[in-house]
Amino acid sequence: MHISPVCTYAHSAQLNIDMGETLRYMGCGTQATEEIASLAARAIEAVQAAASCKACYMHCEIAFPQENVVDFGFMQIQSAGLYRHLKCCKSVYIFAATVGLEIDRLIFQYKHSSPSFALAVQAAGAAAVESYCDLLCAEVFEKEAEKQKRHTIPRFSAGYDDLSLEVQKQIVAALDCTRQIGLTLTDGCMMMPSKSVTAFVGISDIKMHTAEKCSACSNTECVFRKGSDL
Amino acid sequence: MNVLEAMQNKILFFDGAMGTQLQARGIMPGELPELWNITHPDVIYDIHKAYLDAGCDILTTNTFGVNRLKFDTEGEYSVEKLICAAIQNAKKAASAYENKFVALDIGPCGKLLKPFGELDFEDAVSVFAEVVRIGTACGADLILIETMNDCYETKAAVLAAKENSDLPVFVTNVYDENMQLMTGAEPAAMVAMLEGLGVDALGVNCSLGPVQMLPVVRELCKFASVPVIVNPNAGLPVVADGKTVYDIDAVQFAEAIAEIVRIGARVVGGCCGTTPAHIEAAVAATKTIKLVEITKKKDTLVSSYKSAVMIDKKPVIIGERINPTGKKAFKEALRNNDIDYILGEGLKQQENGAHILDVNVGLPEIDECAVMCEAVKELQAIISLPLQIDTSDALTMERALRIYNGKALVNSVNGKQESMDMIFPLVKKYGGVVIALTLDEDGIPNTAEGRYKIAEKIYNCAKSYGIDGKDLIFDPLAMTVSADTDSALVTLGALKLISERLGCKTSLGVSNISFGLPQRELINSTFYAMALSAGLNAAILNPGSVEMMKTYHSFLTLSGMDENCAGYIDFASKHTFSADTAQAVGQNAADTTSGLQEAIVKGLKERASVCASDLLKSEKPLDIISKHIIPALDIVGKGFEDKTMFLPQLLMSAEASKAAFDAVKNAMQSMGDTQTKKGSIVLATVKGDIHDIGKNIVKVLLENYGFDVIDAGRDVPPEMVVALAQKHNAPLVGLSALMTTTVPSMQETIEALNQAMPACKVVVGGAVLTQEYADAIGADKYARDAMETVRYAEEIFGE
Repeated sequence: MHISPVCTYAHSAQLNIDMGETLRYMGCGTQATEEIASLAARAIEAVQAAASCKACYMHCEIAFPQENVVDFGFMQIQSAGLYRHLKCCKSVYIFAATVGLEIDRLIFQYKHSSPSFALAVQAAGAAAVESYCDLLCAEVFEKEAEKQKRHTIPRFSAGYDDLSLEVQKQIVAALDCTRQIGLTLTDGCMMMPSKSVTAFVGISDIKMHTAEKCSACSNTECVFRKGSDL
Repeated sequence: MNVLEAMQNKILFFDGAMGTQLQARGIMPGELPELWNITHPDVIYDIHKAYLDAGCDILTTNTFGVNRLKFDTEGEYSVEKLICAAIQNAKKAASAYENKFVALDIGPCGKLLKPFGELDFEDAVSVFAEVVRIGTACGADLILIETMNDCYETKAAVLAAKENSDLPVFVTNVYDENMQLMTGAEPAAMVAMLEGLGVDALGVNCSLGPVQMLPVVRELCKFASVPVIVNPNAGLPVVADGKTVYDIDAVQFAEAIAEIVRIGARVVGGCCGTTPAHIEAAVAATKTIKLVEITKKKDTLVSSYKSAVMIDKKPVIIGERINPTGKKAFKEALRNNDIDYILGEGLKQQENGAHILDVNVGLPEIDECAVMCEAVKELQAIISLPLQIDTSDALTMERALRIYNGKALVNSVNGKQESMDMIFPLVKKYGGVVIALTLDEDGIPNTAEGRYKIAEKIYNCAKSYGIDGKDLIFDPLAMTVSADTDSALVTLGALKLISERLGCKTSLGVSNISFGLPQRELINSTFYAMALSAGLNAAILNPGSVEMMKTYHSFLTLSGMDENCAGYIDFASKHTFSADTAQAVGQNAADTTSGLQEAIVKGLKERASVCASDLLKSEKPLDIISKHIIPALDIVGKGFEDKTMFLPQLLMSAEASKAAFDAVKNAMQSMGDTQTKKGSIVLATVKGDIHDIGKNIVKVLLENYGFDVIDAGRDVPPEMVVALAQKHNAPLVGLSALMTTTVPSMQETIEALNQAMPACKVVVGGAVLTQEYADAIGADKYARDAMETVRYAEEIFGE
């Protein structure tokens, strides 16, 4: 099975961080007051100034040796959710992306002096890394897929459905993340810098109707699920 | 010939990539390359040999990721066996050649250090120390610490190397296109710290191609007094037809390396993507280049995790406010272990224009060493200014310099032999620039010449310890002018002698000069101007003092050190601006009768404070709390519970009401009144968990409702929670956990609390917790959110 070497993707232009997404992560949806909106706007500005976007990825063919098992050629993952999600694909991009440690430093700086701003930075940071992932998927994966007349499907991360966070250990090792983008895992498999994402992006022959990552997840109770009633 | 001698008069070459070569030979993604030292020694040997044939002088062992965090400590593939095998493979290859060296390769340990990660600094030192000891025993010729993207981890690795081996230590860091490490450090900051720690060569590797590295190389060569190492990637990777290729070939790579050597690098090689062909081409391309001499630089540099501050002609301000002397509130904060207070002082001084922060936490009744270390750790996590460690206690100085993330300013040494014998060995080991006071066993001479003599004695003694004059800043001591009218002139005279004859930098604590006189700031700022004019390089002062800052900014402007007078104009405009705003806010508040309540509900911090101050003119402090602040908090609290208001609003209101409380509290204190707290609650994020934003939110709200919160922090072991709860006789403990993996640690804490303090209640919360979980681990209460914790606390404290 084909396995590509690890590539990197840096982004030096300013990230577009969505206000609506930031408010959603802050837990107040569309019902923000003027004060909250201004808090969010300041947080977005701070995150834009502090962000340092780096990503690394690889492309590999996949196979399904048995039900609920995905074989990537160099590793096998047991997960019903991931299996269901990638069943329609022949290959996959595996990536890790971060907007950098300075966001954590901002959160650290404000968590005592202004927890509301720390919360807003936390939210803007989450929106930033998601926006960076969107960019990576559109600029690299979708374009590469289009060349072969194929399409990307929504990304799927550890923690979605039954896919264990432990899987990130294998991803971080395979992509050599610490070296490539400075990403590390805690013993509990949380990522540091905290505003980081690892995910699988399947390549399919069929274009899926939705580009929405929340729809891929079976956790319908999630408070951050798009379309959920906040 | 050892490697240090070898690089005296020739360019030395490192090898190229190991990983790239192993991939070409079939290693799978995620497979541990270091295992191949034992499973495929012939492959490793062949790669080494190919690089030697290409002309490299130093082989790096295949040990990049070997340490006990990633590998077993016993068994077939133990850390020890892997390192020994790796060194044997390299030595075997090198034995057929002359004057080739084997570098024990040490990469990042794979864990981020505290406070952002969970690995303790000393644990990191110990992880690296083990690798160093094994590598040294197995016969490596030098130690290469490489691909470090965190300044702090780099320091841990270098300390481990210096403490456990006599081998030469080479260090290379990863810089991005903005010339910063992932954790923010600039080249000058790395040079300052690494040379302070006594490394033999330093430089850059990985991430960038040789062309993109040029600006970093120039910076390193500009500041470094030791040889500079440059090991770039093969270029920038680009994807073409699904394959990764580099934007330049081996010949272009070699041309760029030649340029790097012409700039002044002494040791070069390759990183990711490079092959024996790259090294061979680079060796050929640099053959005829004349060596650039490595000169001793004279810069006096201190550094933080991020940047270096140069102490030179342009005077530097050392903020003096983190010091309990004569400050009641500061002493109180120290007794309560209130690190937030210290952080607040630090941030304020940074805003006011300090370049370096003095840190003094000396108070007889506290554990100075522990508080100093905590203060340093917290300050250096969020403040980008270098710190000045200010203590007379040897142990505190040693511990603080060790854990400091950069090259610190050391306050202070003096001409007493005892002082020099205590301070200089520490500076030699950990690096640092020392403030040297011109006094000795016989006191402070009352002549300029006398003080100069002491300076000379200190200078010579430092030299005998191997400390250069550039790392000394002399303080010729400002003495009270009201006691001796010549004293200012003596000080300035000594200052000039020291800078003229020793060529060393100077600093003063200026405020002592005016002791006993009226209008002290006038004397202080005029003396400051005189000292600046006499060539003073640094002063320790309060950057919040407008008078001193006026002198500072106008001096810079008048002495040609403020381009376009921009700094002065900025200072002047900001100063007027802040006065205007205060007035505007005040007027607004006066217009609104129900101003305070509205300000709190809307979460307007400044306005709430102004409104509270305003109300104090007509109402009693306690009435303001009960009639305005508490009702406002109730509106917000109910709104949150009814889901008409959201978490950010709750927090903003909490912050606004805190600002109002502070104003009221100050008034009460000045009236000799004290606010009664409702009782103590201990909060902690449990052991193993470093995510504490939720706990901090709960803390702010509880404080708002008048509870005395003892914040134990994050990653707190059960026994510490119990100890704090017992110490404060707390009827309630709050525990938070974000991850399922740390819930067992929460259970352990509850069990320990139940045993030690059966009457103490425990409330738990956090992302993964549910009522079922809370019941299962024996918590008294599960709180869904911060407000629910407040309500429960009110219940427990009988409201």
